Amino acid sequence: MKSKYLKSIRAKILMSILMITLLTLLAVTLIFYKQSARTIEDNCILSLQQRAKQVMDGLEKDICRAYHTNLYASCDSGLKEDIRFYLQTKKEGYLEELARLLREYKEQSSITSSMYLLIPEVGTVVTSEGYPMYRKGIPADKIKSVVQTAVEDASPLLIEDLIYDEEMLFSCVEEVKDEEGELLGYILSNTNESKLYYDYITGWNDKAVTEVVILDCQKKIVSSSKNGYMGNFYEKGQEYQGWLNGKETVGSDGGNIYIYYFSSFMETGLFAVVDKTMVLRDLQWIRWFFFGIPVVFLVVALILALYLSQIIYHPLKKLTLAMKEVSEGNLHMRVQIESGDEIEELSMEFNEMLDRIEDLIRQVIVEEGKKKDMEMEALQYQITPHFMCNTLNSIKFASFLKGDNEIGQIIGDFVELLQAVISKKGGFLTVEEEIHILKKYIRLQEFRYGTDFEVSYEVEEEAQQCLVPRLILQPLTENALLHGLDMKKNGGKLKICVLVAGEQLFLKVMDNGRGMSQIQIEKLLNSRVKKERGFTAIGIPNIRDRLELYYGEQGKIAYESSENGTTAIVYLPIRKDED
Amino acid sequence: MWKREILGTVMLLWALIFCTACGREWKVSQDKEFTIGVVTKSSTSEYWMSLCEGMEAAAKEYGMDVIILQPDSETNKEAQIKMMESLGKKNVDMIAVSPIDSESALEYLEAVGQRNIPVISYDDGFDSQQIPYVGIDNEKAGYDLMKYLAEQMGHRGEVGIISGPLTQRSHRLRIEGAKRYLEKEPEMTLAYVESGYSNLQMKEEEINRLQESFPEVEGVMVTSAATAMGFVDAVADKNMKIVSVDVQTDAVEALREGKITALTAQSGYTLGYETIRYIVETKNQETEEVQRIVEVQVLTKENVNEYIQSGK
Repeated sequence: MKSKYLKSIRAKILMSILMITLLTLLAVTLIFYKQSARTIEDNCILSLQQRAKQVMDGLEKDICRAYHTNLYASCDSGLKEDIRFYLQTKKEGYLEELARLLREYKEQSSITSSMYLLIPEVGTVVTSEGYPMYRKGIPADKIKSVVQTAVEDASPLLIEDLIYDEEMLFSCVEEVKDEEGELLGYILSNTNESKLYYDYITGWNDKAVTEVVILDCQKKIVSSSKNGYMGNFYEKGQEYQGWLNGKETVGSDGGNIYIYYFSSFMETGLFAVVDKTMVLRDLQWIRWFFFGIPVVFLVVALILALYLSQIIYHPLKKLTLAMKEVSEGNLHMRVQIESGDEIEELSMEFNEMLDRIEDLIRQVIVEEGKKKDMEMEALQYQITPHFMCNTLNSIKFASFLKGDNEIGQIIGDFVELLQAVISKKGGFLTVEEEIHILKKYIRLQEFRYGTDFEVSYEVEEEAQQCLVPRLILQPLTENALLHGLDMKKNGGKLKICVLVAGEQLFLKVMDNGRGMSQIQIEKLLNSRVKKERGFTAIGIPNIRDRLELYYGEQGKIAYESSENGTTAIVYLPIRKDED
Repeated sequence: MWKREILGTVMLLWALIFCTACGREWKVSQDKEFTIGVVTKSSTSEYWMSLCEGMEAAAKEYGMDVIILQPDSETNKEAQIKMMESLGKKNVDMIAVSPIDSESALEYLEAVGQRNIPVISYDDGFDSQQIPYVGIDNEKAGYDLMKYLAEQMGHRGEVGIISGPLTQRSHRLRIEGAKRYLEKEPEMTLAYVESGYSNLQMKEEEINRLQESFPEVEGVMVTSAATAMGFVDAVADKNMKIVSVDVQTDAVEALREGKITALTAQSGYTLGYETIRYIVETKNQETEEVQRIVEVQVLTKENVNEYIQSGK
């Protein structure tokens, strides 16, 4: 049953609607989701790029300022003089003076955390800080490394802190030369790591950013999110090599977003790694949203589909049921469908078809009737009736004239009988007329066999005028006489009854002969062979056929038989008019 | 049955959706551009500010990077030399400098080091002809200015010249041009040439001194507008005709008001832009010019409004 339902039109319609809806929904969802993801990612990347640019531009500006300040400090004639005087006199007062100058210059640049004046000749460093104001005895190798770096590379650069061991500084370095071009010393404008960290890196600290570093052109760390690594080589420099080049690089490898922004003045670049999943966190929520909506709509679609499939299916079902009923025999079935579509057309054609079938059946009935009539006529016209009857009448009169009344009587009966058989008029006689003819037939048989049969007639008054098919009793009677009653013995009784019961007319021919077995009865009723021996060639089968033709289900012939006798029963609907 | 097919399709689509959430690999990289190192003469006057603006605009348009280092004033040659050094160490692709000392080309070049970085001059040139120059024809500017002044003075009378430092070639050439013109004017004499005043306003006592010493002077050519503005206010009550160079806002205003008679329209913005453009063309080998002269116009009260509206 279930699989039958699944194959039905209704299920198919349902499935089709659902499939189409599902596919459409999924496609649309997919497209929109992809678009949203892309948009969010692009926006995020854009804002990151801007942030990187902002930070680096700001840093560049500040470093530029430090550079300028440092440069002017290095050209300061007062400063140069003080150095010269110190070198000549070694009076510490000049160092203090130099420290003061450094302090003044330091004020001019916000990013400068300290300024140093290195005088290599005496291995001394003067600072802008309170403590120490100056330090003597700076190790020669330290001085050498600082000097070497300053000569080779452009400011700003990463150098070792001359004062504090193990510390690194991001500094601008300038030579201080006197008017003759003699080198007096080096002036440095330093920025320490924490300043860079707090002013520039902390702004980047949020959950999504997994890594942020500022690297110089050798990929050494200038500043990073992990404090304390200034001057070290960036350990992931190899790993991220592909990203750390160019002026500006942006990209993704699926899990992370990478941003690199390079400042040409400082020759340093900012590199940031952003975790994509953190960025797309918002997208998670959208994801559920996008998948929830198709489900909701699918449910809606299901309900609609059920309703729609029902609308389409219902007329079809009506038609199917009607056809089923017709096939079971109810030709009067008609279908009423107003769906306005092909099914309505189908139903109209169906109705018309049934109309035609009924017409055809009627035609067939008529034709069959005609055929029977024609057969009858054919039988009846083997001898011209007129001639036959006239001749017989002549014989009858001759008999009377000769004085033989019995023979004349018999011939007269015979003529009447013949006329009844060959008469053209209609297929029906009244019961009265039929009994009349029967009596004549019986008298003839009595004459032939030389015996008298005991025949009784019971005809109800109501039945007298009912119409019966012509010569319906004759074959029954013939049968009863010839096969039922034993002709040689006396005592054969025959009884003819005609009665009305309800809507039906019963005609019975009863004999008290030897009876028939059930097999014989069946053979008699079902045989198709035309009887040829008898008064007429009309046989029991013919009666049966005629009853069926005229009355359909309502006309029947039956036999009841025992060893005491046989009763032939014909029943048919009461008709007083010929149809 | 087909039920299974449906289920299969649905699952496939869901899988696709989840996959697209995963990443795609991509990279967009912008290469380091051609870097131009620029050293200016100063950072404080409107002329220099608009020059830098012009350079940056041109750099953006041509996809170049430009590092501009600016001394505070036009007097600090040491600063310029140090800046040349810095640019050399940064290994820029080309250097453009407006030298404070036109005579010391070698010193400037040495500062850059042995790095094979081409150097050009702009706004003001080196005496050495081997270094390309982008700027106005200063000699002609001086000539045209003096010519206009002479016309305004009716081709007679005494004139004076106040100029920037003679170490700067531009000023020197303007004086030369002016003198060349005056040779044609028999009835005009050059009373004095005071130099060394680039970009600075003259002190009042100096102005007074000049006027007392040379009372007959009716026309003055001041070779830079910054200096001219100081002079303008001092001689407002006298019928003095002043001609100058550079179109900074206050000078243009003075021109409109008639306080200045003529102004050579040397636009910082245009010069900066043209300098970068020249560099680009040299880099792309589209030109082999050793100098690029930027045209200037002599502005007078009549055409100043038109000039302003044309969008300086």
